[in-house]
Amino acid sequence: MWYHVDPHSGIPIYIQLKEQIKKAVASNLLKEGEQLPSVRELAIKLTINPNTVARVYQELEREGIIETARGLGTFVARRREEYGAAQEDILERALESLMVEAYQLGVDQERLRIKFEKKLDVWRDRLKKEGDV
Amino acid sequence: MSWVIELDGVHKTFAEKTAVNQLSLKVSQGSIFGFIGPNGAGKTTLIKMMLGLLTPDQGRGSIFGMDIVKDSVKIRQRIGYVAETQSMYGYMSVAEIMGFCRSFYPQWNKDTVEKYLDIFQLPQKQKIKNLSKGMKTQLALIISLAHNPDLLILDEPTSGLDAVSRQEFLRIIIEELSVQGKTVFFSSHQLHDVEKIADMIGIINNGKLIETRKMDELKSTVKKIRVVFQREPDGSLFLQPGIVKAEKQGSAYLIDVEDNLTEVINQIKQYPHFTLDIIDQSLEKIFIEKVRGEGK
Repeated sequence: MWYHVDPHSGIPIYIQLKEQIKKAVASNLLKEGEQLPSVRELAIKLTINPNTVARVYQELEREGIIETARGLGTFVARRREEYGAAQEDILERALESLMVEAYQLGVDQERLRIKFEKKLDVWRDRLKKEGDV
Repeated sequence: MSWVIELDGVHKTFAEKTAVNQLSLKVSQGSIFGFIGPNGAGKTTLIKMMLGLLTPDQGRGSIFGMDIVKDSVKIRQRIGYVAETQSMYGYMSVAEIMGFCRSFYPQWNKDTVEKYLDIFQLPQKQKIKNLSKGMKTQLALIISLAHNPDLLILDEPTSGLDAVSRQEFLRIIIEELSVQGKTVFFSSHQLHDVEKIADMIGIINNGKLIETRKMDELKSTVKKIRVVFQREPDGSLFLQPGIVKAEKQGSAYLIDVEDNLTEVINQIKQYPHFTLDIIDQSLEKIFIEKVRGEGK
């Protein structure tokens, strides 16, 4: 997988890297059980601070997206069948902020529902396509 | 947290001019501390005091728990230092200066030296006075790493380097120091280089430290908010902690936030508005605003 960060953006490097890995896992670009580079390797490769990479891995591990096996390395975690309280919480917050934004923009509930379903369809198609490869 | 550098109220005046003004800072082990400030802000003076090349008029400091004035010689055995301008013996060749420096350090690492002479393709027989500025910097970096220092102090190291050499320079800092838990004090006005690798930022202006924060925190909390309200909000909205400036531009308000971001946004959202944008700030923008704000 090809990682990329823009250190000069106003978005902290750790957020850029974290979002990128999350997206890669969600879209199956990084597959279950696939090994991630070590903190050391990634820091050298991207020429960024190893503390930044370590923070990304810690947060992703806490969110259950990756797992670290001591002595073996870091791997993409098995996709969860059941979501734990932490996952529920993250999802809950994301939905909440979506609804607040929609309300502020004056989007009514019906339009929001249609938009949401359209997005789900696109997502489903994409996953299906990548599954075929 | 173990501190590698601890400075407490360090002060230095030359004739009438205060170069470093009651400056205190701490750098933790394994950190890359980006020390930024305009030209003449006092960066080099502070570094010279840390190295024992200048004595502070007031205040005290320690590196690895040793006093920067009394234990300077012992401290320097564990520090690597790359200065802005390289004053090396011009008549020596690259190989000769290596042999010369080697005699000062019992823990001289020949393998590291050879590896990097090779990577930078520095000609061993060339006289130093005939090297380009960039090559001199590379040579100074190699010498500074040769005794496996626990702390590397860099004073504007990348100013004479081209883009490729700069990238290589930064990569070596990550590979030879950072991933091994060693500490780097990186003074520069090349914000782009600092922004890439530093995890802590200190901003110095007119001899005073005007900001020290984690880089992530700085970028996560220092934002501009542009909001167009549906009707004029209560002026007290802009008095909340965290807001440093609010000004009206046409129909929009531009609000500078330095802290307390989530709370500030929630408060603003209480007022009916047409649009609300949160604008990210690069280190350069943050730096310019801070230094300008101080000047007022």
